[in-house]
Parts: sequence; C-alpha cells; structure tokens
Amino acid sequence: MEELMEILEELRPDVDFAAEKSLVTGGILDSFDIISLVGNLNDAFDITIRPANLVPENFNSAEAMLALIEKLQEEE
Amino acid sequence: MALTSLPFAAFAIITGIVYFAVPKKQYQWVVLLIASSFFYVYNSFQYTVFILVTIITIYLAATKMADISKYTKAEVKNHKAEWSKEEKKAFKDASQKKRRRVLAACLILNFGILFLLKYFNFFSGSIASLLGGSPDEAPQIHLLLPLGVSFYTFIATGYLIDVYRETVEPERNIFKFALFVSFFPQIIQGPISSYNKLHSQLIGEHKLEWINFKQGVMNIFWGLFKKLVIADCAWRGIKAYYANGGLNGTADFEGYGGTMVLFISLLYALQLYTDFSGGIDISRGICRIMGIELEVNFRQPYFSKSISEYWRRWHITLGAWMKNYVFYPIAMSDLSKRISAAIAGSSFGKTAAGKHLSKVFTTAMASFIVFLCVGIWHGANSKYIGFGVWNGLIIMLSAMLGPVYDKSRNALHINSEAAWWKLFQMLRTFVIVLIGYIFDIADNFTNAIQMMKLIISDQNKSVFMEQIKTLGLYKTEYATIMLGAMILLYISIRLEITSLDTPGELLERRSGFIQWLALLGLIMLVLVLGTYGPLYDPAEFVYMQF
Repeated sequence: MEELMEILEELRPDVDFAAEKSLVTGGILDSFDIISLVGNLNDAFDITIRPANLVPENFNSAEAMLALIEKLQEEE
Repeated sequence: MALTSLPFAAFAIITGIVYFAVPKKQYQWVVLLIASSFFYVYNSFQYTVFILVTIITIYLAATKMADISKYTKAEVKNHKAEWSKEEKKAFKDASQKKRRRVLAACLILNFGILFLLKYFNFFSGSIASLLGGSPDEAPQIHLLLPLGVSFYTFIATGYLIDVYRETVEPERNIFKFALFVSFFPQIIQGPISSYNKLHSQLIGEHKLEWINFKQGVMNIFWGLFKKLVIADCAWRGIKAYYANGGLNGTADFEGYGGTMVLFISLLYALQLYTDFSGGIDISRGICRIMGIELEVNFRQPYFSKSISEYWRRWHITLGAWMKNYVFYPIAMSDLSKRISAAIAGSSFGKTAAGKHLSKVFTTAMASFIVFLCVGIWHGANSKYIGFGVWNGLIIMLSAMLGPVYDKSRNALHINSEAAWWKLFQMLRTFVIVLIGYIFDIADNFTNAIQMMKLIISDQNKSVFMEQIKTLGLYKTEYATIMLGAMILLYISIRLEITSLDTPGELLERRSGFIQWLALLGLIMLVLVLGTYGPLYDPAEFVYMQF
C-alpha cells in the first residue's frame, strides 16, 4: 500500500488519496492521469493492466487499485 | 416521425399505456421491442435490413466469444492436475486468439457497413480527384442513411467489445438483445448507452410511479422548450443564411460580412446545443416515466474551462465510447509504450522537457486520433476532418505544453482559483469551441477558413444592421430567442451550482404549488412561443443526420 500511495502522491500531489472514494466517477482523475498511472503501476508491480481493467470500480479509491494489483499479480 | 411531432407523441403515449397495462410485468420488455420495431420500420422501412444484420452478427459473435471463454475455463479446470503452467497458458492464449478473430471479423463487418453507407461517396470522389478525374465520374452509392446507423453501430459494437473484455455477460436471448440495439427513444440521436447501464433496466419490470411520471413530464417539456422555442426559431435564421448563399451571396445579394458570420456562429452555438440536448431531454423524459434512466449526455458544456473538459460535458456518451474503445487501447498499446521508452532513452529524454514529453506524447497522440475519429463520425466532408483536427490539436498541445502554461501563469502571479480567471478560461474555451463550430457551419474546409478570416478582418456594424434583415426573423422572434436563452442560462447556472441534472430535480425541493406553477409555465411557453403550425416546417434534429 505504501508504494502505491507514493506513486499516487507523485502523480497528483493535490489529491487526498487516503480519503477519496470516487476518483474516477467524481472526475478527479482524468484519462491522461489514468494512462500515466497505469504505466507506473505496471512498472512498479510487474503487472499488465489492460483496457478491460479500466472500469471506474477499479480506480475509484486506493483500496480498489490495490485489490486490482493483487488480483493481477495472482494471475501473472 | 420527428420526436416533437404529434404522431410521435401519440405513439409514445400509446406505448406508455400498453407498457403499464400489460398484465404480466415480465413481458413489459416485449412491449418495448414491438414499439421499437414498429418505430424503426415506420421511419426507415427500406433500410431495416442493415440494423438486422448488425443485431444478428453482433449477437452471434458475442455468444461465440463467450462460449469459447466458457469452454477454455472448463478445460483448464478439468486438466488442472495434468497440465503444466506453460501448457495452460498456451491453451488460454490459443483460445484468446480465436476470440480476437471473431471480434475483428464482426467489427470489420459492422464498421464496414457504416463506412460504405456514410463515407464511400466521399472517398471515391476524393480518390477520383487525386487521380486527376472529376468527383462526379467516380462510382457512387445512392442511399439515404438508415435511421440512427451511427448511434446503433456504436451502441452494439461497444457491447461486443465489453463481452470480449469479459466486463459483461452476453445476452443469450436475441430478442432482448434486439431491444437493446433498437430501443426507440435513443435510436434517433442517442445517447450511446453502455450495455451495463441500460440493458438490465430495459428487460426489468417497472411500476408506474408518481415521482418518475412527474420528473419525466418535466424533462419532456424542458426538452420541447429548448427545441421548439429556441432551436427551431434560431434554425430559421441559420437556414436563411444558407438560402442567401452565405459568404458568396446570390445573384441579388452580395454575401455576408464578418459581423454577420460571427452572429450566425453564435446563433448556431445556441441552436446546436438546444436542439441536441433538447432531443436528449425528451428521450430521457419518456424513459424516466417508464422507470428507465438513460445516461446523461450534456452537463452545461459551455461552462467548461478547457476543451478537454468541454468534451467531458458535451455528447458525454460519445466521448466515453471513444475513451473506452479507442483512446485507452491506443494509449496502452505496445507501440505507445515503445515510443515513450524511445523518447525517455534518447539524450533529449534526459532534459526536463524530454521527461515530460516521454510521459505525455503517446497519450496526446492517442487523443488526437480520437478527435479525428469524432470528426469523421460526424460525416464525410473535409470540414468535419478540419473540426476533428482542430479539437485534437488543441487537446494534444495543451497536454504537451502543460508545464510551460503552468509556469507562465505562476510567473504572472495569476491565482488559478480567482473568479475572473475561471471566467476568462470559460470564455477562452468557448472561443475555441466556436472555431470548431465554424467548420460545421461552413460548406467545406476552405469556406471555414474564409469565414474565420472575415470575422477577424471585417467587423462593420452598419453593414450588420442591414444584413440581419435578410434572415427574415421578426422582432418578436429575436425576443423569443433572447428570452429562451435567458431562461436557459438561469437554469444552467442553477444546475451548475447544485450539481443536479435536470430542472425537475431543481424543483423537487420546492413546494407542490411552485412545482405545478413551473410546469404550467413551461407548457405555456412551449405552446405560445414554440415554432410550429401548418406553415412551419419543423427542423429535423441536427444529430438525426449523423
């Protein structure tokens, strides 16, 4: 979780990722943010996030992202 | 049968009555399917075959892909003990390849039909000109467009890609699937609904509820107000501009000056928004009465502070489609990754600008391609390509130059939260949008450039006062447009402040008396100021042609 939080805070220092629960549906992260985030997560956690994974439910909160990362790590 | 016509009103009311009167609620969707089929055949009888091909091929492809998936999972499970990890992976990859082939074949067929119907004449003409011939000699297909072809093709292919990505389960009942593709309130001009938001509602059971009825009726009349009071009145002025030959004029008219071109552009901005969003309000209202929530397609787009924000507020469902099925796949492709890595690895990539570019270049390129597609989606004409390139360039440049922009704002000590700055941003965005609209209004790309030149170089008030008479609108009609625009502005500001979607929701907190008063007032405005009657030829919805 710490590593994820570091990546998120580097991407958008202005957002409180610990508290925010509607990052995508609330329009806080735009599609450009999502693409850079996906690149960083792929590198840091050695996973491959695909367009199919880019549903709002997977990116609305830091917890949801962590769950996605863990799911993808299991599948690898 | 236009959405604002009496026959359509009668059709919608009868459908609504039968929908709620049906004794067994599990058959309500059958009522919708029959109504949608009737509506389609009535309006576009000779082209029904095209929508049938889309329904059948996408239905078959989706079930086929799901069957392959199911079989693969079962096989892997059955051979859990015997197969090595590599064998399992090879088996999964092979079946994934099969699924991809089914997907590709079906997408090529369906976009091929769309391409042939919409773009064949344009491209065959262009190729003929390139080869030195006349576009008139090129082979042409003489067909009107099947009703809603751009909308239903996107709705259906979006579903197919979702099934491929396994984010939705396929619909195994072809009749239920046919309803999703042909659902009458959205077939004319959208929204481009996503399967997971709409389908379960379409086949679900719904009771008539007072709140839905009230909100639905309110939305229908709000849409009628936008369409009949504002859009159709403004459209009469725009039509006269075309009839008088635009910039070139006619035998007895010299052609319009820069001030008039600017006025027509502003009128067009008002007309396009009220026409398109008004139609969507009517569709959403009809659905709401039946207990079905259609997706929101507009959120006060002219209040946007950047062009990318504008595209998240205007024709929202087209933007979402493009993002999910074009932008993400391109931006996340291996090629994009390789380009980013190449920039980062070069000596330029070590500089601050290079680092930034390596991050955003491919994303910016992907969004440029998206806007090219959005332009082409609107139709086969060089002006729509110009429209797409213009929007794409602005978004691409603003992403790439983001840091430069932030630095200069900081150097000028501009507080990005200040109200005047936000207002300035809205105005700036509106100007960029307006330039895009000029591509729409123009006959072709060259004409659009001429119009822009005139706006800059030829502002003349006395010529304007003379030329405005040629639009043939009465003073009362200008007053109607003004009044309509003021009411629209007031409601839009209220919606913006409260983050609500419809005027009906705004009224929900008020007393019953105020609600009735507002509804009656709205109905009166539509009846008294609306553009109709036997002498008027009500304008077709602009987006119906797409």
